[in-house]
Amino acid sequence: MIEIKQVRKSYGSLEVLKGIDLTIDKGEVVAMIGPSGSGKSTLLQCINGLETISSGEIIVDGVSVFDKATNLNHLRRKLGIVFQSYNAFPHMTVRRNVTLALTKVLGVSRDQANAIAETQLQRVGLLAKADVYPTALSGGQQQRLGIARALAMGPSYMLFDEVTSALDPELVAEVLATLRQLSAEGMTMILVTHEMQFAREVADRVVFFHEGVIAESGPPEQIFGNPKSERLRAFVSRAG
Amino acid sequence: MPPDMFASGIAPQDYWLMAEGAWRTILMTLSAGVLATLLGVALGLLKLMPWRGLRHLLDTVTDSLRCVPLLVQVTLIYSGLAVLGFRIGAFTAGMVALGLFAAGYISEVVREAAQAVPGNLRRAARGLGMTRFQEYWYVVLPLGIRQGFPSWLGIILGIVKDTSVVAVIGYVELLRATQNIITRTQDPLPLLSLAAVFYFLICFPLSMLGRRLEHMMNGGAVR
Amino acid sequence: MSYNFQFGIVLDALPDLMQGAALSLSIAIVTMAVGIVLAMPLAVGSWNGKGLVTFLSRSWIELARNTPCLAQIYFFFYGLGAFGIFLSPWLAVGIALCFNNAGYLAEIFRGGLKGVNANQMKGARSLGFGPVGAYRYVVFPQVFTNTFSSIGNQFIWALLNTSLGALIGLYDLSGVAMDYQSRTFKTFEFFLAIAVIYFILAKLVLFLANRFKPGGARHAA
Repeated sequence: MIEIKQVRKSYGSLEVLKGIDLTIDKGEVVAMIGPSGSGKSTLLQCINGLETISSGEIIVDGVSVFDKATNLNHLRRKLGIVFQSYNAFPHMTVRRNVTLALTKVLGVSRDQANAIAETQLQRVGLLAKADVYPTALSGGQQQRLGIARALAMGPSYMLFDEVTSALDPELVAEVLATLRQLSAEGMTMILVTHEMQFAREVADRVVFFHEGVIAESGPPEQIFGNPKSERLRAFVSRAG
Repeated sequence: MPPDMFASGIAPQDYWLMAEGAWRTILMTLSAGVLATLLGVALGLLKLMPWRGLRHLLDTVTDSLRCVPLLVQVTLIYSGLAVLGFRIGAFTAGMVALGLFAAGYISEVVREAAQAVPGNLRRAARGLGMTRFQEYWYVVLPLGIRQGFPSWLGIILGIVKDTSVVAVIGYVELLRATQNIITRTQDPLPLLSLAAVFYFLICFPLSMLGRRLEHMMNGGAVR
Repeated sequence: MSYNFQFGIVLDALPDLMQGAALSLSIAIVTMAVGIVLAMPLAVGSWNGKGLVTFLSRSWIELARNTPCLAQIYFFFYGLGAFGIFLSPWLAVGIALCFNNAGYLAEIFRGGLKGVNANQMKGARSLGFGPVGAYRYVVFPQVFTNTFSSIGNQFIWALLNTSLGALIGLYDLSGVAMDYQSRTFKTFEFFLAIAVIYFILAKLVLFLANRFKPGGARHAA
């Protein structure tokens, strides 16, 4: 379970998160939507400590993320994350991208790591590309590599930070198909997304961010079908 | 000041000797710098001319200069000229050696700076009816100087430091003067530190200036 | 011309010159290897560190780059005597060149670090790498690729700088030549010979560097 309690974050005088409370249960798929700059991506990166918070608390399976005693490197193995910018490591093959952290962080043997990598690459449909370098991959393939790389660490939660935003339209579908498959397998997922149709289809719960606060949240039918606030209504109709 | 640091055999005139050495370092830098710049620009422009054979020859020569230690080049020029019957002083030999060494680098800077001038600007100049000379004088030179200045400055700073190598043929610049005093007083640390401070005070501000200019140009680069 | 060239003496001295060349090359290789290892934390510290770490790493880099290499060699050979430390010529040259290489390489790496996308760091950290692991396995391999030719040039500089050791009695290639010239007075012949040897060594280094240049196969896939 991920518990986010009264989280605030400022960059200088600009407050981007103004007291966020949110709880995500095991097996849940939560979609975070909202206009750019509303703080949803920042919050997502706070969950695994890639961004720091100004006050409040985030607790993952009973461990407080920003407690000084917490080993963040250890905690991050539980929290896979995939970014908007495909950050595949360009100096190693697709396979090595997946096995690197397995061998160097988890201490898994080469053979075992290779086996895991092949399973995960198979899962995202990239096994055939295992021995090429990321520069030879399309954007969609690089994103699927990012997903496989995160999954290989055996995370309990997967965080997706606008993973389709930088993709050409024709490549979006293949990445969404992978996400859909993950949700069907019961993975706990938090997605920041601009794909409303997709959020509606896979999310158990949709959270609407606006200017650093959660303006509205609920099941997708309610959020998209019967938005309460004027802001959400305007956002949903614009995002169409 | 702590007595154990300066109470040794260092006499006041030793500092005067070091000051003289420092002056010779500056003199050598300026002479070699002027020679290197004139020669380097000339070589760089020749490399830009459409004469392939000459370009290869010059490339080979300047490239070879980079593959041989300055210490060896200085000694070779000094002894080589003596072998040929020219009696020249250590200053002249040092200046020629340093000047040649740095000219090779400057010629590369000149070429790169000129090639960084956008081709359409050069074509525009020719399109206006300018001669090749006018193209270089009014377009390539002003733009190229801005582009190449930080690298040129870096090479001149290299000369400041490399003057110390000319000591090998008996030119008493700062470091050699320092070493002479050390041999007598057996008190190396304060004198070496003083010499290092002198080099640092000349080089550091100029290298910061170079870095800043480079940064500014990269920040404001066209395209 | 009255001068009588005598390259026969040089040929007789060839075995000694070769030994000197081997010493020069070994010192260059070792001080480059140590320099690269030292330059990595220096580059990170001067680029991304805080307070004292930044100050110390910047001081190292600026001192190494803004004083003559020969002065650095003198410092480790003569200067340390003030602390009762007396190093042999090869140790003094070795330490001075490690210091010098590390300073120049750190500046090269600093430029390379700027060229690696910040997302690479985030990507590595998100997989559970600590800062050291992220730099070691993800960031620096890319820095090495980006700055490969500059590292090669620094190697040449290190090789040429070993010649300064001759001035404190190191028996490197230049030291051997100096020793022979003091006995035979055939300065020109010996220095021409070692100029050729330095040239060949430098070209060999550049050839090998080109041969093992990373990144070639990478884009062919």
